[in-house]
Amino acid sequence: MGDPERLLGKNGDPRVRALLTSLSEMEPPPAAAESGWRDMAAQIAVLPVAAAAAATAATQTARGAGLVAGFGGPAKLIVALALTGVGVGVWAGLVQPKGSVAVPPSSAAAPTMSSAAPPSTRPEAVASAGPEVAAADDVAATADVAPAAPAVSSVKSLTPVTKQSQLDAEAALLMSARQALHSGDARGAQATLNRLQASFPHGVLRQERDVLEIEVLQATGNSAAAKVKARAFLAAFPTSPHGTKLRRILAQP
Amino acid sequence: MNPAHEAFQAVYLAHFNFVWGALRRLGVREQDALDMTQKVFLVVYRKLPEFESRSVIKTWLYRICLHTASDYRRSAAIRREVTTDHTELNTLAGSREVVSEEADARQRAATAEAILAKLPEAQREAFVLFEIEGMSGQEIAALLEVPLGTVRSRLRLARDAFTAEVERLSAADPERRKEAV
Repeated sequence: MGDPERLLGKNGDPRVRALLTSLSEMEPPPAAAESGWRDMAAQIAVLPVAAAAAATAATQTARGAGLVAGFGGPAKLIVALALTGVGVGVWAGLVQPKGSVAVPPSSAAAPTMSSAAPPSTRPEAVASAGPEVAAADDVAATADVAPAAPAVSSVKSLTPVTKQSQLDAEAALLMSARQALHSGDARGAQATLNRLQASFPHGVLRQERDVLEIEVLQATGNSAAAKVKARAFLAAFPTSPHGTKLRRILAQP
Repeated sequence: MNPAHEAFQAVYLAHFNFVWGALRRLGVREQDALDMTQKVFLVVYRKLPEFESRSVIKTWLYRICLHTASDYRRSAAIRREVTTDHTELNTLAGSREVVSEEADARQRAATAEAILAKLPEAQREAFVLFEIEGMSGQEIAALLEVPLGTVRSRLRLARDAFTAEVERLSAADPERRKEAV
């Protein structure tokens, strides 16, 4: 038996749909993220040791495991993925079997990150892997779990430096396109996306590129084309984490 | 800025709105949403170096939101202030003071929040994740670490309760049957 039809679907009660839509459109006040970041930066500024310790521990663990990429690599990748608007399940299912505990939450109540294990990557598999939702990490906010040994499934699946560099370059172009769009330069964003498409036709961040292109179409008033592309995307990637955003675009009049 | 801070800042700015909205839908009041969002990101700061991307980062963030919102809702102060009173709900649904589309949307959101607040926590989570966040039953089961059948059962109960409350509100104010919600 599958999931029931969503109440937000076209056959749902319009009164219920209206209420649910209002919930889905809740947004923080303008510039809340920027002012929030200033506060957050001040808070974490008093915790430099924790962050540095984490970075050091991660780098050391990475070296110990023989990984090519230290913490800097994964950190850069997280930056890239975060700025694309979604974290792709880049390492999904590659580190450990579903359900196993690879790296438990740090045990201290204070932000002391004692044994941060580095993510291992296998880009050759990533290229064909969609951002499916795998087993969620054990990140209970209040959990107290003793650190376990870092999980590295296979030293054979090392990250070739060239592939990491390619991913960095792809992510940089994508970020550039997104920044252009956010600054109101939709044409510049499209130009950068065209370069991205030409340079990385089968890139790891293809889904993010496609979604951004749909956003650019919307921003330029071409909502019909945006919807056509959104439908095609959802057909190709029905379980994509971008689905919610695209369905909202499709629901717009 | 070291790589850990850089990564954290990127995650913070990219996902701030997502976390804020998720917390609101999980029952955090608007006046507390910014504080709770910061609380979520402090957890993120602690754990980001451990994030291995075995899950999508939004799923990972959502799990932290679930824990944070759950702790929040359990506080005695919040329990006292949750709006489940029928009279107040009727007032929310039937207000005649709506003068703009934005105000209308806010009123609808307030009504929806009030209805959600009446649901038991487990049902509310399943309902929000499925109906609003667009997750599948399987994804919710993995996120909440419960069997799929449990998710579907909670979802069914929550949907029934939600739609029944909408019916009740509409019946309570038949003049606004079409536009009340």
